[in-house]
Parts: sequence; C-alpha cells; structure tokens
Amino acid sequence: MMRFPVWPIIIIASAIGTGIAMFLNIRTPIRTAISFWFLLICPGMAYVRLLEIKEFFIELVLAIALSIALNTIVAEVLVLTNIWSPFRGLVVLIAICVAGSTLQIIKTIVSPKDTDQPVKKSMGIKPWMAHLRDRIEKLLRGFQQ
Amino acid sequence: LAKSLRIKKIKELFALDLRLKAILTRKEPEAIGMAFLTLIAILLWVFSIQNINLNRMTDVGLVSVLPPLSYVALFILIISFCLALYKKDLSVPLLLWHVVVLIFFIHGTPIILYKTLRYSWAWKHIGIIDYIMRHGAVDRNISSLSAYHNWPGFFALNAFITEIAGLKSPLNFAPWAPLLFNLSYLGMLLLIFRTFTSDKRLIWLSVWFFFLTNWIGQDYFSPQALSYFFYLVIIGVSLKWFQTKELSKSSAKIWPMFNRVRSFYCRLVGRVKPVHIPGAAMKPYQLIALMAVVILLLLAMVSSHQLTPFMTICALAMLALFRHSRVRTLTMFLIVLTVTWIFYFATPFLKHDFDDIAAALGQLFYNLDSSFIDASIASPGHRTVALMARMLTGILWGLALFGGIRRLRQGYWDLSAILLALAPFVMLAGSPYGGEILFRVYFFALPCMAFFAAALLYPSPASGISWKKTVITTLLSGVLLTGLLFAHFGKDRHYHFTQNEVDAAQYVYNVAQPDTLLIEGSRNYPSQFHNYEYFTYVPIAFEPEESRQNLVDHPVETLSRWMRNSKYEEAYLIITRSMKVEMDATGQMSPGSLESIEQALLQSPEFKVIFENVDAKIFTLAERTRGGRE
Repeated sequence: MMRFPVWPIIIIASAIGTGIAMFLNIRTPIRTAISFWFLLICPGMAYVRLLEIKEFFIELVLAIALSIALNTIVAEVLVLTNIWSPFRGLVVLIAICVAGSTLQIIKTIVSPKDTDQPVKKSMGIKPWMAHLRDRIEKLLRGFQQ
Repeated sequence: LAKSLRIKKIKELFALDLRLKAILTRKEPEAIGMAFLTLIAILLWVFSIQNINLNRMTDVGLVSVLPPLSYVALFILIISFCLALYKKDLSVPLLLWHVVVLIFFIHGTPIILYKTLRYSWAWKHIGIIDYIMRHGAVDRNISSLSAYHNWPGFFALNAFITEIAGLKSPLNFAPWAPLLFNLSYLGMLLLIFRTFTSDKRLIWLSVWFFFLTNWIGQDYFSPQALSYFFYLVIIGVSLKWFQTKELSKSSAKIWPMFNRVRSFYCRLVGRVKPVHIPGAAMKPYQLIALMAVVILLLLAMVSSHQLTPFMTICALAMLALFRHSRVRTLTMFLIVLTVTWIFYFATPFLKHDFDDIAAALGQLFYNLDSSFIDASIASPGHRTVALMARMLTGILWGLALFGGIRRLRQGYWDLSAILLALAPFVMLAGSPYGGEILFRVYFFALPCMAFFAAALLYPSPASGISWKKTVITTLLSGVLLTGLLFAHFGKDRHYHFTQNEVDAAQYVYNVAQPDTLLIEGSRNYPSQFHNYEYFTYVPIAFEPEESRQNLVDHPVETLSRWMRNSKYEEAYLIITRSMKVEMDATGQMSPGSLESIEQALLQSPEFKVIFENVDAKIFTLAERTRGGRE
C-alpha cells in the first residue's frame, strides 16, 4: 500500500504560498506566518524525512536545524558574492524543497511499504485517515519514550 | 486465506484503536491534578506581572520588583514538577509541559514586561542586519563591529528572513529569540540525555536543572545562541548515531610510545559499557545522509560565530580521541573548515586583532581573571548579583562533582558526559574572549553538568523514588531558581530599555549624516541599530582614566573641544537613563558622574538639547544646530 505523501504536499504548498506572497509583495501577518513556517521547517523537512527517523520530535528539531543551516548558507552566499536578492534566495530554497519533496515522493513510489510503520487499511477507513492515525500514534509514542 | 487475513487486519486495527484510546483517555487523577497546579501557577504569574513598576527596580534587578505572587507561582510550579517526578509511572507529556511553562516564565517575562529588545548587544546585532538589508553586502574591513562582518552567517540569515517575511526590521521578532532558542534547546537536550541514560527520571531532572541554571544570558538574539543550537544538534547526532558499538581496548594504539598513558586509557575505556540507545541503528546510506546534514550545520556554524567552532572541535576531538564516537572525520573536517574561514574569509579581522589574540594564548589566569567584575568599585546590589552568580555556578559544579562520583560508585562510567563536561575548559587557555570566556565555558559545559547534578539525586533507576528525595529536589530547585533570578535578571535595571530611550536613539540614528561623531555616556543603550556605519563612536566610559576625570571636572570645555573637531560633519552627545544606571552600578565612573555632566551641559549656552524626554537627552553644539528642539 502506497503511503499518502503528506509532507511533500505541505512543503510544496508552503513554497508556492511563500513565493506568491513575496512576488506580489503582500504585507500581511499571514505572509509573515507562512514565511516563518516555510523558512524554519520546510527545507529541512524535505530531506530529514528521507532519513526515516522514527521519533517525530527529533525529526522536527533536526528539520528546524537543517532549515536554518540551509537558509544561512544561501543568504551568506548572496551576501559574500555581492548578489544580494532575497527573491533569488527564495527561489533557490524553493528549488531545494521541491527536489527533496520529489525524492520523498519517488521513495514512496519505489518502496511503498514502510516495514516499521505499516499503514493500516481495513473496515472502510480511507488510506489518508489510516495514515493520519498512524502519524498521531507515532507522535504520541515519541513523547511516551 | 483471504478471510483469515481480513480477520487479522480487523484485529490489528482493533488493537491499535484500543492503544490510542488508552493513551488519549488515560485516567490519571494525579496527572490531572498536577496539570491543574501548573494552570494555577500560570494564572498567578500572569496576574502578578500585570502592574509591575519597572522604575522601582534596584541594582539587584528584576527580583526587586516582582510581587510575592510571582514567587508563589514559581514555587507551585516547582512543587508540581517534583510531584510529577515522584510519580511511579512517569508521564512524559506532563513533565514536558512543566519544563515549557518554566521556560516561558523565565524567558517570556522580560518580553511581556519590557516591550523593547533587552540587552544593548542585541541592538548592535540589529544594526548589522540593517546594514546588510541596506547594502546587500558586508564590509570585512569596517572598523566598528568588524567581527560581525567577518562572520556574517547569523546576520545574513536574519536579513533574509526579515525580507522574505515582509517585515521592516528584525525588531519585530528579535525580542522573542530567548524564548524560541530555549525551546529549541529542549529538544536536543532530550536527545543528548537519552544517549547517557535510559532513566526517564534522570533525563527530565537534568533538563529541569539545565533551565534552572542557565543564567549567563547567551540565549538572546545573537550568533552565539544560534550556534549553540547547532552545537547541541551536532553533539546529539554524534552521540546517538555516530557512537561506536564496542569500545575495543586493542584498538587503542594512539600512543604506542607512552605505555602508561596507553594502559590508563585501556583501563578507562575497558570500564565503559556502551549505552544501548534505542533507534540508533541506521543503514549506511542513512548515516551518510546524516553526516551530510551535520556538515551543513558545521558550515553554517563556522560562518556565524568565532568561538563555537572551537568549542565543538574540543568536544568532538575528546569524543574521537577516546574512541567513543565515529566522529574523527567530522572533527578533521571542522578543523579544516574553521582554519580556512579564519585565514581566508576573516583575514581583515585577523590582521587587525592578531596581536591581542596571540598575546592571550596560554594566559590561563589572565583569561580567567578577566571574566570577573571588580567588586571593590561595584554598587552593593551589583556585588550581590555577582556573588549569587558565583554561588549558583559553584553549587551546580559541586552537585555535578558529587553526582558524577555517585554514578561511578553505582557502576556507570559516563565517559561521553564527562568528556563533554570537561572539553570546554580547554578554551580557558585560548582567549579571554572579551572577558566572557568563563561564561562561555559554563554554558557549553552546562548540559553535562546539569546531568551529573541530577544524577546526585537519581543515580540509577534502581535508586528508586521517595518522599525524602522529592523534598530535597524541591528545595534544591528552589535554591537554584533563586540563584537564577538574581544571576540572570540581576542587571536588568540597565539591560532593559524604555521606549523613551529607543526613541532618542532612533532620532539620532535617523537625523545624522555620514561622518558624524557620536559621544555616548556608555555603550549601554539601544545603540547602533540603524545607519550604524555613519558614526564614529566615543563612549565616555571607555576613555582612559585621566581623560574621564578631565571630562567630569571640565565637561563643557572638554566636550565642546571634542565636538568642534572639523573631521566630522556633525557631532552629538547622547546620555540615557540606562547609561547612568550602568555607570553607577558597575563603578566604572564615580556615582552621579553622567548626571553631573548632563546638568553642566544643560546650563551651558555652548550646548543645545535637540531631543529630550524623561529618559534621554541628545546634545549638540549650539553653533552646529541644524534642526529645532523636539
């Protein structure tokens, strides 16, 4: 059973949202919120998910750390090479996110079965509901540990 | 077959539902009671900080204005946490909730009370970000704050975030930094402590002690706070995933010529039992990917802060040397990266400061001594704060020493934790780091010190729980929290700035043209946060003793001479409330010196006030006045 690619879709949607907000220069708190979400979570989560770390909170902290590191490196290259352009930097980050998300989707297609966390489906429950339930259980287990 | 498979699936699903239901609807009256206690603590805290008059703050800082109800709230939180720790069946979400509330009490309170960015160095960091946003580049040869231009990672990052988020200035989010940094540390501390022990009680008490003793205030909006987060992640990943399974004595061929050292090393390593870390087994491709993640973190860290890479090198080298972790490649990579950055990207800084750096190398006692304030000239309140900070440090390190011994006696050779606790001390011989090296050493050793301090109470799972232990934990937490309140918030009378002070600084940074002379009472005000490269800064407090005395004796003549210097297009003098408070508290100048200078200038026709409010005044020479008085 193929897993529903929740994170790749969230990451790509966030990237598109941030890109549009930046391109149209919308100055609202929503732009601030979506930008912070995108910059601090998405680039890292696009790759950390590939590591298949079983505890969600470690996955999250690693994703934040990697996101900040990627942002820092991209911004620093723009500053040190005198080609400062936040939009250009954002495009690079979106590309990084799309590449990572694509890898996640390919991985899901190539190896659809997650041996550690099988997606339960029966009794008429839709795959995405079963997947969501799996995620909740994984999260709770992570805290219990 | 299909039917049996279907039945199996139904059973699996049913079992899963039951498990979920058990987790979500677990009936735990004790846990509910403790959660209720924390809610009471939160309500009391929120209620207590409503009407605090910051003007009444004394030289012992925030503790002087906190109402008794705040202390009651903190005491309830401590009791609630210790009771949660006393439970036979530990509830991790409940413990997590307590720690989050503690972090919010400690690091959220200044945000709510002060409403402006705390600590003058944080304002300087805003200034570098402002520079990058205006110029799109850094100037590595700049004379003022040049270190930041040579290690621009943190500032480039924040300029980038500010622009993408559509904000005008990082001041919109910078005050929240201490809260966010501490929350981010929490996740990695849990990871690190879980590699030391599987005892949940010890893990959570270590986390609790970490936040009760993190007094040195390096978690503000700064490169070091971010780099520290990277440090914790790198150490956490190294300990969890790059740890060797077996500590082989036969592989100890590092010192073949030094047999005694080698035999000691073999005996030491032979006693260490590898800790079983759940989830540490990874496939080779996963390890390579993790290594890539760590390398990216190292890149970001090396380009953001001067000291943290050295601290990380010390920590990783210790782990690698004792074959306790597969981090030799990582250590070598970090050394190469750090050296390359210093000798290639940071050459201008190195050229300028090489003599000072070289002179401090190996000067252990000088470096150590530079971290202490001169208690003989400080105000009584300031002395009390310094004493409390020293006592808190001493208590923690003492507890850690005895905790470590107790663990050893119980048969736990926590080699990784011991090495990581000792590694930062190597840097004491390296540099005074602007008089802050001891604080940084404390900060980097803190996670392991907190672990060993907690181990004094809970050395092993077999040591069990008792009321006696719970009472001792409560009292100890109370003592540590008292120390923290004094040590962390003790300088807040001059570390916090009123909106009036911010307005005054904003005024001078907006009206001044390039090549302006700015004379400041001291560096302690919201300084350099906008157009900072326009100015030549002359802080009175940093002048030589003779010059300062001359200025106090003849303020009008001295200052008018300085400000008439034709080298500068304009000249201003700024004196604020926080400068006066700092000078009086630290004793850098005799009490009331700045006040007397201000009064002399107000009475002199040679000077004109171009901006004033109750907390700040900006003077210029009457003959150079461009605008009217505000």
